[in-house]
Amino acid sequence: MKRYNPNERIQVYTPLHNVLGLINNEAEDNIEEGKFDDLILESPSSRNQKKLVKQLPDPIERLVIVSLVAKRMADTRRVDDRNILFSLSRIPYFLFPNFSSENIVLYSQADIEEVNEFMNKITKVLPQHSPRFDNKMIILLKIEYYINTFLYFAKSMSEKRFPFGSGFYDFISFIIHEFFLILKPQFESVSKEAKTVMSVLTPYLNYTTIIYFYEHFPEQAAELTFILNRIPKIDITKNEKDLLFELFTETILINKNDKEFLLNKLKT
Amino acid sequence: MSSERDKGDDFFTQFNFKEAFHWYLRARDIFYTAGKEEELRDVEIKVARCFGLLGMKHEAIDLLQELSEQAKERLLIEDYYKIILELTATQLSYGCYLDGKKSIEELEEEVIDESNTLIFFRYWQTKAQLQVVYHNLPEAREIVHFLMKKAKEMGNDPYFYELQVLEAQIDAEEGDVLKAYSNIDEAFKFFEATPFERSAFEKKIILSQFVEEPEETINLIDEYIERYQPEDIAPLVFNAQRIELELRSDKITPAIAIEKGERLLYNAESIEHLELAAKIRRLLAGLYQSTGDLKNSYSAFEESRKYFISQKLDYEEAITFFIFLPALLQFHSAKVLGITGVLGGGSLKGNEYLDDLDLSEEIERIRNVFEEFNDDIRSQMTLFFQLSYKISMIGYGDDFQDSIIEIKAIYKWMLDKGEIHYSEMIGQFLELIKQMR
Repeated sequence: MKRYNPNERIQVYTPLHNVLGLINNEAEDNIEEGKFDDLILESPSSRNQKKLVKQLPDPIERLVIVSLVAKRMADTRRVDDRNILFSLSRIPYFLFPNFSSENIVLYSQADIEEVNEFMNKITKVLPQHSPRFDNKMIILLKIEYYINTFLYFAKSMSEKRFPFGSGFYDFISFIIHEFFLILKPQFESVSKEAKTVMSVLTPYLNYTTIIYFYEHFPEQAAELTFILNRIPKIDITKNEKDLLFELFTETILINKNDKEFLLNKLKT
Repeated sequence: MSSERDKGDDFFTQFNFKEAFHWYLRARDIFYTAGKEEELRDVEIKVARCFGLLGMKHEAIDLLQELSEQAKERLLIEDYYKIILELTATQLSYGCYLDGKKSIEELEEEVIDESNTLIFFRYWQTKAQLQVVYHNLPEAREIVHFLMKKAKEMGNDPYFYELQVLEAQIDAEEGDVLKAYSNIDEAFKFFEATPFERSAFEKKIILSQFVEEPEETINLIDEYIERYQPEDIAPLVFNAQRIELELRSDKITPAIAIEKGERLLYNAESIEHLELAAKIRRLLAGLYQSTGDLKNSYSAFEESRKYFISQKLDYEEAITFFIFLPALLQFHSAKVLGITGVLGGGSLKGNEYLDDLDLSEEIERIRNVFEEFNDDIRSQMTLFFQLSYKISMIGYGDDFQDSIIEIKAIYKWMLDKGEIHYSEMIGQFLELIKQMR
């Protein structure tokens, strides 16, 4: 972890080059001419968010354009990233509660790469699994996803959110929270879709992450338990299974019903 | 003894519940391995409180129930009372009023005396709170006065002011909002820079909407969030309030309010905060109506009403019914005309509840509830709906003129009260009648 240093901006935005190829030349020109600048500078109300969604209906394109606009503004206007991040941060439903210019910390390149890889995976999986376009949940999830993922991504590069763990865990924590929030109330009615969306997490919920999570994000224990109980598959060895069994039996972080369900799931 | 626990306490008094939670868990581990039962129980109650504050309702209730059984087995009376009171508070904070009532009834009134101030005050305070929820205001006030006297005798100022906050709530329920607000303000000043500050501030925000302009209240909410950076579930209530305020001051359109409301509903539902979810649903039922989405409006109305009935909250249920009443009247006339299919795309057709509903009886019922609870404005407005319903049923019969005169009187009354929204609605109705003749 390093302190924020404006000269290191290149490093901060490096992963963005991966996504440059996803938009057409016209959009790229428009970015250069500053046609999208007001998306970021205008107060990010939900109305503006809607405008943005209307202007750029494709979620991936939207994500890329918003990121590149932020980068261009950082490069040309000599506004530092903090200002842009701050204005982005005010998009509804995703606030940075502890934002302060004093505690901005940079993640290591490796952290960013890891988060970036995860993000790529999600962008690849999600759009394919939206079989019910009339279904509000999926649409909502998707829209929020792309904007929020970017926001989180941008933020994770320059600000540290929790006192524990690497940026990777912060990101997982964020994703789990969003899944829980949106999927729990509707799980019964769209369980198939919800399970598909959740399966994105399968490779990331292994023995180490589960243990780490219960230890370092106890306030999210209920959220993780919800996901573990409903995710189609958890990838663990026999030995790890026994250890997890022990952890789940002893912890007070999981309520009775969930515990019973979880232990049964582990047994099978 | 345990620096972990002290650290947790420190963070807790700074309202940083997440941090506190971490430290309490660590302290718990330490006491657990050291086999220190008493300390362990103490810290576990604190952990349970954090569970509740951070949105883990079932975990909190499970833990407290387990602790209460332990305490009961070992005949630790004082601990048992403390735990049950905590359990009650958790249940109340999630809107499970009947469960909370049941829990507190397990305690025996005779055993509780002033020797343990904490239990004594909390027990009676919780009782008073329950009375306020079920609108038994005289009983609630009696308890509060009794406690205030005690607090004064003991020279216990914090309790005294806390009770003042509770009394303000009773005043507000009785309609004396201005008095309530000034009382809260006084209490808030006293509590400034103490651990009670935040809860006084919260009450201040809730009351402020009745006395101040919407903008003022929104500013207060902002100040609150800025000041405490809350991470617990309490501020969710204010987000719901904020949507209403922003709507009232025309800051947002109903469409945007729906968007915000739905997101908030996800929040409330995912942590199973029943009361909040029901209240947001009620708001949404009104909003969907204004955007013409009768189907969603009905299901929001139904779900919301279900909760209020389950907790026997008559007044809140009546308000829910009141909000959906325009749609019911509309639906009723559509049914009479045989065009229900046009409304709500037929989704409400063949709905058992709506088919069996005796609208005039129900209107009468909620009007009685409003009268009983001294809600003049809603009871007058319900009377208006009742009259307009009557007109639609009898046509231009003998009673017609009388009804119109009565409606005009309500119109005037609303104007005098400064209820712009309602008087406008009645005005439009009168205009329509005039045109039809």
